[in-house]
Amino acid sequence: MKERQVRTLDQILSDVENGTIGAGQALSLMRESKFFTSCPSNNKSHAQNAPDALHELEDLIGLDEVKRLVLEIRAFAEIRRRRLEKGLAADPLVLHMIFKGNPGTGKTTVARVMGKIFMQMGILSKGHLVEVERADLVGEYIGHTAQKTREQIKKALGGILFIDEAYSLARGGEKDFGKEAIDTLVKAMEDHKDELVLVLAGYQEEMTKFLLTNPGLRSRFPIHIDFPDYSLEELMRIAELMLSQREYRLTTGAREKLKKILADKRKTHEAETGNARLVRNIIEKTIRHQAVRLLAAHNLSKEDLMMITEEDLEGDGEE
Amino acid sequence: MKRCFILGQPNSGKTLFMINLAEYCGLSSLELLVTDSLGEMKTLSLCFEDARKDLVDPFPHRTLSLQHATVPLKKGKIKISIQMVDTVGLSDSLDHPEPVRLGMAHTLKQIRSADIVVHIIDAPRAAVDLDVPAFVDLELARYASCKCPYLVLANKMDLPRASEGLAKIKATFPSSTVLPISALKKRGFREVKAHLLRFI
Ligand SMILES: Nc1nc2c(ncn2[C@@H]2O[C@H](COP(=O)(O)OP(=O)(O)OP(=O)(O)O)[C@@H](O)[C@H]2O)c(=O)[nH]1
Ligand SMILES: [Mg+2]
Repeated sequence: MKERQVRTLDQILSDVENGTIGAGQALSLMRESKFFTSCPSNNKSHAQNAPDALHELEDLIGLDEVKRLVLEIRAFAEIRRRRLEKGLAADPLVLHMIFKGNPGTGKTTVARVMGKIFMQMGILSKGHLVEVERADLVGEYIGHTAQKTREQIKKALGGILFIDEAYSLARGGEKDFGKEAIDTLVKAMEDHKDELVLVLAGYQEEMTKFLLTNPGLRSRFPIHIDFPDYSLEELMRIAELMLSQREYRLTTGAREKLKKILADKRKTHEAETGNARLVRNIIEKTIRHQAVRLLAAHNLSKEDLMMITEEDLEGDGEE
Repeated sequence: MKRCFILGQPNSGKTLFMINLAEYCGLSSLELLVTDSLGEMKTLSLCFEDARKDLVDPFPHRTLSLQHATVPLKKGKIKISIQMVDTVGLSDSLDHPEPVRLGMAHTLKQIRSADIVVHIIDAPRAAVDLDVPAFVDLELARYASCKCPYLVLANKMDLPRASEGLAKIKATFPSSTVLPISALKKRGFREVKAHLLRFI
């Protein structure tokens, strides 16, 4: 049998754009990925229109692997629920995750949306995100760390506890209080199986090393997701999206120049190359430049107020 | 404001339905917000005469972008508005020119934001064409009826053989509400309006 892969909305739509599938086929796949299978015929109880967190995920640019994985998790969780309904055995649903990637590659955003998705699926009761780093967990004296960590866990119950640069917990070696934080977290994962999802995030390499030196941890995190740097084309789409949300547009010249700026950046800055934050900084600065340029002008049209021109973009986008 | 998508195969009468419904509901001209797959956005202001002339066409795939219009519906003394969204005709064929394919993908992407779906089918065509309702009509019905309130409109009831088509459409969608209309003659609009109000 051919392996069946979940198809993300991006894939379905690009198949339509390429003429590989027709609209009927696309609708069928879209319905499948939403589990619109056992549909009520009486028009009364549809999947009502609470803003769907899955749309939010679908609308993020790029992140193909993440999107596919979320669809798989949804499928698994849904089938698991139906198996339990029919009295069949079901593996426990363990959703603790490792996110590896450079800053600005969408890790926090994805975690936040996943929380909402899990909430809408009934996997988590609240689905909120509590984002912490070492300083939020590690204390000054014996016992302090466990207390601080437990506080954060308590805040995160029903949602996701997102630990950025998680390897910094192992930084100080054996005597460091970071170890105490890890132990407390592991215990919480046992005690609150059904009401807490833990996400450990950080740079690819550090994360891999961290997990190698803590094999006990590794086995508790079945889901690993890589967040690759955005491609130049994706960065451009992110830029255009940020601008259109603020009701700005790029002239053709400005678009070319922005592309060049981003391409140059990608060559020079190592860890920040595929970085959405970099795009945001450039965009915000450019909008300020446009404002300064327009202030000197008279009789501005709506068009003028919206257009970002070449001169609004700085040669290198540097502060 | 609730958003009602007008969906269906090319040439089924979606655009004419939207224009004439807007007129029927008492608007004096048509204000359209037009968006396309490239993220372009523009507004159009037309009198109804021009709208019918410019936006409706005997050949399929006249509409290649989404056209939004705010239409007032009256519920007793209360005025409620609804946003009607005219869309790119959906078809199963694979050999459309690129603008049509992009437009269909754009429409499919946006469907997710629909609060109500109105599905238009060409009734006289259903009478003579074995392939109408098509696969895309069946899938649209399955998708939309699970997602939100959903209505099938059998259109062009002013033409010969339309009632044969209507019977076939009703038989194809036994669990959906099917209303006969003529977008051209504004027939059946009272019932459509009543149903839309019930959904809001
Ligand atoms: N006789 C009759 N003709 C109709 C009716 N509704 C639409 N038409 C005609 O059908 C043709 C297509 O109408 P449109 O409104 O452009 O159809 P559409 O679904 O928007 O088509 P696309 O935008 O191409 O997908 C036009 O020639 C209309 O005049 C109707 O109720 N009766
Ligand atoms: Mg049209």
